[in-house]
Amino acid sequence: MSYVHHVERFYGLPAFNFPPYADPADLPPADAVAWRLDREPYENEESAEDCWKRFTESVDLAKVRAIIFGQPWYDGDGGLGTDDLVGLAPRLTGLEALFLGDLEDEQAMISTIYLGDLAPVLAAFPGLRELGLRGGDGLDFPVSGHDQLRVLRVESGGLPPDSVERIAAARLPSLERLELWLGDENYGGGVTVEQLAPLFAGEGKPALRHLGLQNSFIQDELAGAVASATVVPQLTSLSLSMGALSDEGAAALLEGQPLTHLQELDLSFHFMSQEMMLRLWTALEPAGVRVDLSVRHQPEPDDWDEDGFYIAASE
Amino acid sequence: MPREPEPHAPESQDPDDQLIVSENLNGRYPWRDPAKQVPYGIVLLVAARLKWSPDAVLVRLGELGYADVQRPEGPLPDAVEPDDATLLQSAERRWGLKPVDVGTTVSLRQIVDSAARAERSPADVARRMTAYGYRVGTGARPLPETANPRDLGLIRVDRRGKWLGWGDEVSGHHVLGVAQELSCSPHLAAVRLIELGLRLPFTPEPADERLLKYADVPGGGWIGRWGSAPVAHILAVARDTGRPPADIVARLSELGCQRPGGNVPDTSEPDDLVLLSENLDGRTPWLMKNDVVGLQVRHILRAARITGRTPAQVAERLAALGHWLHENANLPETAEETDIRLLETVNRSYLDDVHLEDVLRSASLTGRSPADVAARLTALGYRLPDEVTYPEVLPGVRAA
Repeated sequence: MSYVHHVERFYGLPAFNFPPYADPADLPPADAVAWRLDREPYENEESAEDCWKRFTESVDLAKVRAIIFGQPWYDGDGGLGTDDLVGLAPRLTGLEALFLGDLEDEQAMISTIYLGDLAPVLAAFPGLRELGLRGGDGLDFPVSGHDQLRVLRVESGGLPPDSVERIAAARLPSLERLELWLGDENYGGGVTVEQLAPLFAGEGKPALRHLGLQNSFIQDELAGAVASATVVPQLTSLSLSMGALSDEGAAALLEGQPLTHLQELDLSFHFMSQEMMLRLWTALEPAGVRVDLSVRHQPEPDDWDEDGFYIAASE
Repeated sequence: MPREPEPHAPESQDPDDQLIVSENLNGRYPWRDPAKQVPYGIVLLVAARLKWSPDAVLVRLGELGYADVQRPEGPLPDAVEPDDATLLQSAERRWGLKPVDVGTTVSLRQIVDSAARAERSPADVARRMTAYGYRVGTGARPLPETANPRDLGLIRVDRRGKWLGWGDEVSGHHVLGVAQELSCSPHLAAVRLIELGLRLPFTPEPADERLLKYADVPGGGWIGRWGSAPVAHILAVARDTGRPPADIVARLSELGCQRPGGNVPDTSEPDDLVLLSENLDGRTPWLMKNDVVGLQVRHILRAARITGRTPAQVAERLAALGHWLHENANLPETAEETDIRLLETVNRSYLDDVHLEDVLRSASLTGRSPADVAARLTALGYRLPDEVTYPEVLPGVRAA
């Protein structure tokens, strides 16, 4: 089962594919949908340039609230990027949410989607409240300058450690939800717990209520850090899902600081034993914590991999 | 080191001459080979660019050593409107400059592409091309006098280079497919394709619009190339239009739709639409037939509570409408809200095993103990293979 799918809803709005050769009469109101721009690289497909031109001419840009960019603005070869978007900032006065890199597995491996420097986009849209990113290759996230951002979600098969470090250190005073798919070091990931230290210390993100450190091989270490992290008391939900969380990490959670103030603890996609699942559930659920232990996996060791752990999205 | 001379470079330094003999009409290398025929479209494009007559361009080309120039069958036009230059560029261009070939009939794709680029109507483009000496095979009917950016998408057969041509027969399947891709009404697509000179195996009727729209979602809700009309949609159309369901099914088939997703009854029962609606309110979204795992028991139980039928009666009626229930499912005699709430948390089908983690999740979401959840799911026919002792512990009250 792939975890990498086209975004169906974004910023509370249904995603709507801006159709090729669109007739304005057939389009929904500008503020009723999250507009997805995506063109396949086929000979007979409307070009990205024509698509963008038509979008800007047929949609009331001042009312657009959310845009989702797919191929070829983002792909494994670098993509067109967001120069056009940035240039249009004076007309996109109501834009509050952006998703960059909405590609599925068959379009590009998630680890190859190039994101690049986000500083121009963030500078052009200071009112942005939600930012979704898929990919990670070349990601450069500025440390400050986006005070309105409420939600940041980075889906990656291998998030560059220096990018994670910058996000962890970023001053985001309004950020309420942060989800990071850390990924596999064989595909560009490899962040360490130490690099996440500012995040665990709760620095620069006073409004943070949900933290997701997901999709990595170091889930046990992350759980160990969470067990004593200063940021945890301010959270209402925590996710360590999609990775190689085993009994070791689960035990660290049980033995660490109390988690009973949480409303939700998402540990889905894991490698825990049934005994440990029961321990966690009976320890936290009676206190009112909704614990998600769904999607349990068994390690699959082979000649190449003694442990046999894997994560939800890497290539 | 001296530079290599550019092949076929003109001796004349006159900017107009240099433009005339440059391959890309930009006055720069690469230069046109005098041994090769100069396409007629180039003559027209030069005429448009320099505001000369085509005849004057021909004369100058001859003086510059280009003797072999392609000509149309009829007389040369007196002049070329500068705005028409866009129409003379081939739609097949990939790079550089390629004019439309006067030696072959101008394709439908070319007319439609030019119309889109110039934001003009196909009829206008065809008239201009004819005036310039091109053959345009528009077929029996005149082309549309209105511009429509969708035309190019309508005549696209696939995404790898195949387009419909003049007078081609178009299947209903194609109409549904392009309408889906373009997020437009299949009926309007069919009408426009006919206006563009294509042939369809049916005559579009305004009433088709109602038949083909089965959901109200942004930009769509039309029955697509591979989609089949839900039974409820057919019954709803029959109710709204007074047409017999069989008549609607036959018309949908003519329009290229797949067979309905279920059994269409000759006469419907009063609460059929309620049973067949996802939200049990008699409205879209309609219940889609699941050929793999069958009906959801929770839908049957919810339907029973709303219609006053027993679960068995609901299942029987839905089976008659083509929606079957998996043989492992144990329907309770009465529909209890607690079962409905429990089944809403189960994302496993009767083909799957339900494991400890699924039981814990359902317990978490329903506020019931894992032991209670496991016992009830077993009674409802699910397989729970894990040999564990499910705890009697209840989840706590959630924080506000």
